[in-house]
Amino acid sequence: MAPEIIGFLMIGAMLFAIFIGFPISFTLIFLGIVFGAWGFGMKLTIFLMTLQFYGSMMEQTLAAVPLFVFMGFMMEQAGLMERLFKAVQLMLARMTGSLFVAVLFVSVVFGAATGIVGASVTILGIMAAKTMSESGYDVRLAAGTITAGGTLGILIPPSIMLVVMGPVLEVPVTDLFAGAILPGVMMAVLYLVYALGRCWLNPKLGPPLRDDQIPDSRSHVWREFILGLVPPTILIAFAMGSILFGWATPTEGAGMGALGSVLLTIGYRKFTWKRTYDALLKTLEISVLILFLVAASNFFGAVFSRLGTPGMITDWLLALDLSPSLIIIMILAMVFILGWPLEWVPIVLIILPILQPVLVEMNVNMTWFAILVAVCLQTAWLSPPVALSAYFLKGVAPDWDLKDIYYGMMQFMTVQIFGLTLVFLFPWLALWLPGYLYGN
Amino acid sequence: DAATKIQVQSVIPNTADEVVMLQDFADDVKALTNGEVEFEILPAGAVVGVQEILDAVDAGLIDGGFAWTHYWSGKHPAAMLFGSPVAGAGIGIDNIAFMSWYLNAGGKELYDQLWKEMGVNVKGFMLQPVGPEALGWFKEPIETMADFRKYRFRTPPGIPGQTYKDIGVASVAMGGGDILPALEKGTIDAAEWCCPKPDSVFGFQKVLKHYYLQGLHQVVVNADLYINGDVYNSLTPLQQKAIEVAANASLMKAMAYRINENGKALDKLINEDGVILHDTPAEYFTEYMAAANAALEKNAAENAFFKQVWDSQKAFARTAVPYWAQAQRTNANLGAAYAETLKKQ
Amino acid sequence: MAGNETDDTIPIGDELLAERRAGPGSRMPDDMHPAARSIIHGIDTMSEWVGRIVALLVVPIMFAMVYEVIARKFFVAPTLWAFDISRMLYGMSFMLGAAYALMHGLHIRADFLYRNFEVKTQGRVDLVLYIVLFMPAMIFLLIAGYDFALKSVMQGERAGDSTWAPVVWPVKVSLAVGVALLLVQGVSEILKSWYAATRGRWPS
Ligand code: NA
Ligand code: NA
Repeated sequence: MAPEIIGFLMIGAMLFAIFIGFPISFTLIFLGIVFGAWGFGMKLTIFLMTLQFYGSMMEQTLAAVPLFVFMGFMMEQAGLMERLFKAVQLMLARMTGSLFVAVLFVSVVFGAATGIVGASVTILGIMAAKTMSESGYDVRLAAGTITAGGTLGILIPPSIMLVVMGPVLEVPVTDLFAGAILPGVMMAVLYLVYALGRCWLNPKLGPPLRDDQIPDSRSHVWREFILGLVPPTILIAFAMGSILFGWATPTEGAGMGALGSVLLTIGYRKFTWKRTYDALLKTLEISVLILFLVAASNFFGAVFSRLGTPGMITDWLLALDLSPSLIIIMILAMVFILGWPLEWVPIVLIILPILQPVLVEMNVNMTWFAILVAVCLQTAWLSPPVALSAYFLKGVAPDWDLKDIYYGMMQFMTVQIFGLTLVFLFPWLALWLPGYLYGN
Repeated sequence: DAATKIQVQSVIPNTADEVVMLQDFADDVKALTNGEVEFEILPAGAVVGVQEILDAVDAGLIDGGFAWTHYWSGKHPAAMLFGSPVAGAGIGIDNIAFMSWYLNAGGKELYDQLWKEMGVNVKGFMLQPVGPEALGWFKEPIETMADFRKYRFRTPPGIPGQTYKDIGVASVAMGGGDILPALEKGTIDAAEWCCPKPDSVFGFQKVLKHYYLQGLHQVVVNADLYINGDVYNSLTPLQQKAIEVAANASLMKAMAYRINENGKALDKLINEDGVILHDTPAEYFTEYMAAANAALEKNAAENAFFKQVWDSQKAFARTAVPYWAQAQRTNANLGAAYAETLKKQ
Repeated sequence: MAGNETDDTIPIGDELLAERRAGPGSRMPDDMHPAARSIIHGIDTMSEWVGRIVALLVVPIMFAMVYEVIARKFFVAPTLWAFDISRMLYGMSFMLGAAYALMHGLHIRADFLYRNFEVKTQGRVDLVLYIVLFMPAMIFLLIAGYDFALKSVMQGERAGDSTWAPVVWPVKVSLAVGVALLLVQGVSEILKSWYAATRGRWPS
C-alpha cells in the first residue's frame, strides 16, 4: 500500500484509538510506531522517535512552560489570583459574565508576553477555573473562553508560530508581528462579544453576584479591588514587563515571573518551604503532562509527514485550476482540516513552502496570507481530539468533563471562523499596521 | 528501469537560496544520469529537526541531508575546519583559497576521512561555498572595539561565537526565533545571521540600519550534501561519478549565484531600505584573529585529527595565502576603483 | 450539563488533579498477592523519589534565567551558559519525571467513555493496553534511546546549535533513563490493572 494512504489510515486509527481512554501520549507513540513501521520500517521509526523526543527536550522556548506553571502555582497557593478574579467580579458585580471579561483581559496580557499556548491555558485554568465554577458559570462557555483566550498567545506577538512562518513565506517576521496585532485584538473582542452575548441571552451562563453577596459600601469594593489587583499587577509587570520592555526573552521573563511569585509570597507572609516544595511537585506534574504530550505528538506528526500524506493533499490542491481567492479558501480549508489531527508545526513547515511559489505567482500579498494562515491555525489548538489546549485545561481543572471542554472549544472555533472571514474580506486588518510602521 | 530517488532533507525552508542552488545541482545529476538518479528535496523539519539531520542520514532514516558542516562540530571539533573555519582557519584563507585547498591540496581526502572519524556512515559532497558572511547588524555605528564591547551581540554557535566572548564582546546565545523580537525590544543590540540576501529576507533592515559586511567569524562557509553510505554504494560507478562532477560544478555555480544575488540584495538594502554600510574597525581583525588562533591551538592540542587537518591547511596557506592575498589586493583595488566611478555618477 | 450545578465545583488547590492517585505511601489491599504488593511498593517508591528530586530542577532554571537577565541588562555581561543550562535541565526534568507522572495517573486520557466503564472493564482495558501497547512501545524506545545515548557518550558530543556548546549526552542519557523508568513503572501499573480486572476495584 502507498505510504500516503497509510497516513490516512493512521489518522483514522488515531480518531478511534484515543477514545478508548488510554493515556493519549502513549496511544500516539504506539500508533506512530505501528504505522511508521508499516510505512517505512521499524528501525527508522524508532530512531525517528528518539530524535523527536530529544528535539523536544532541547527546545529552549519550552523551558518557559515549567516556569510559568510554577508562577501560577505560587500565586494560587497564596490565594492571590483567586482574589484578583474575585475583585474583578466584585467590581463588575451586577454584570453577567464579568469573569469572562477578566479571563480575556488576562489572556491578552499573557498573549502579549508569551508565545506559548500550554502555559497560557494552564495558568488561566489554574487562576480562573475555580472561581468560575464556584460562581456557577457554565462549564462549556468557561472552558471555551479559557482555551480560546489561551490560544491568543500564538497570534499576538511575540509568537513562536509567526517566527517560524516568516522565513518559510519570505516575509520579515517584524511585518508578521505587526500584522498579527489587530487581528489578535479583534479575536479577543470577538470572543468577548460571543461570551457576553450568550450571557445576555441566558444570564445563567455567567450569573452576576446575588444581592446578598454585594457589599453595601462602595469604598469596601474599591479596597478589595485594589488589594486584589495590585499584587498580580506587580507580578505581571515583573514577568511580562521584563519581556515587553526588552529586558528578557519570553523564557527568561518566565524565570523572572517565577522568582517574582516567590518574592510576592514572602512579601505577603504566605511563604513556607513546604508550600513551595508542593508547588514544585505540582509544577513537575503539569509540566510532564504538557511536555511529554508535546514530544509524543511531535513524533506522531513526524511519522505522518514522513508518510507523505500532507504533500499528497497539497498536490491535489494544486492540480485544480482555480482563481487566487478560491485557492486561498481551499488552502485555508485544508489548513483548518489538517489542524484537526495535527499541530501547527508540520503544517507550517511542510505545506506552506510547497504553496508559496504558486501564491507569489498569483500576486497574493504574503503578509496577509500568513496572517490568514495564523488565524486559521489557531483552530488547530481548539479542534479535538488532538487539541492540546483541551488536555492542558483538563489537567488543571480535572472535574471539568473533557466532553464539555470539547463542546466549549468548538463554539469558539465557530467564532474563530467568523474572525477568519473578516480578515479575508478586509485585508487591511492585517496590512494596515505593518504598512504604517514600516512603510509600503 | 525505474529511477533511484534520493530524498534529501535540508536545514532551511525550500524557498531559501541554498535550496534553489541545491535543486540546480539535482537537475544536473538527473541530466548526467539520463534520469536514473533523482534527488527529492525536503524542507527543514520534514522528517527530523535541524540538529538531527546527520544522525538521521547515518541511520538511513533519510537518504540524504543538506547543511553546513560546522553544524556537526559537536560530533567532531574538526567539522568546523570544513564548514566554517573561524577567521579563515586563523591563517588567512578566504573561501576561494579554501576551495584551492579542498580540490588541490589534500582537503578532499581529509574531508572524506572526517566522516570516518565521526563514526557516521555518510558520503559527503561540498556543494556551496558562500563566504564571507557579514559581521552583522548594529543599533549604532561602532568606531572602535571599545564601541563594539558596549553592545549585546547575538553570536553564532560554537567556537566562532566563543571567540567573541574571548575578545570581550558581550556575546549572547539565543535561538534563531528569538533574535528579531529581541532586537526590536532592545534585549540585544546587535546580531549576525548571514549575508545581504538572507539577512534582508530575515528582516534585520526593519529594526537596525547599521550594517557591517567585513567579519571574520564565518569568513569561509560551505554548505554540503550528505548521502547515506549504503545508498551511495548502491549506485553504479557512473552514477557516483555524475554526482561528483555535478558537485564540483556546483562549487562554481554557487559562487556565481551568490555574488549576483547578494549584490542585488545589498543594493536594495542601501538604496531603498536606508541601510548604512560601514567599514569594520581595523583592530577587530587583529584581535579576533589572535583569539581565534588561540582557540584553534587549543583544539589542535586536544584532538589529533583536528591537528592533522589544520596542519594541512597551514602547509597550504604558507605558500598559497601570500600569493592570493596579493592577487586579491588587485581584485579589491579593481573593484573599489569601479565602485568609486559609480558614486560619481 | 449546566454550569450552575453544584457538582461542577472545582476544588483546585491540594486536590488539583482529581484523577491523581496516591503515591507509594498508600497501603496496597490485603487481598493482593504479597509478591505483587512488594513489587508495586518497590517500583512506586523509586518513581516517587525520582520525581521528588527532579521537581527541584525548576529552581536552577529559574535562577539561571534571572541571573542572565540581570547580568545582560545591567552589566552588559551576558552568559553563554544560561541558554543551554535552562533547556537541558528542562528537557531532563520532563523525561525523568514521566514515570512519576504515570504512577500518579497524570498522563491525560480522553476518558469520557472509559470513566463510565465498570472498574473490572477499566482494569481489563488497561491491562491489555499496558501489555500490548505501552510495554512494546517503551521497549523499542529504550533500545533506540540506549544506542542514541551511548553514541553520544562515546563521541563526547557537544551541542552544535549554541555558542557555549556544552556536552549534550546528559540529556540523551536522561531520555534513555526516563524511558527505562517508564518501563519499570509499567510493570507496577500492569499489576494494579490486573488487580482491578480481577477484583473489581482499584488497589489505591
Ligand atoms: Na504571543
Ligand atoms: Na487539533
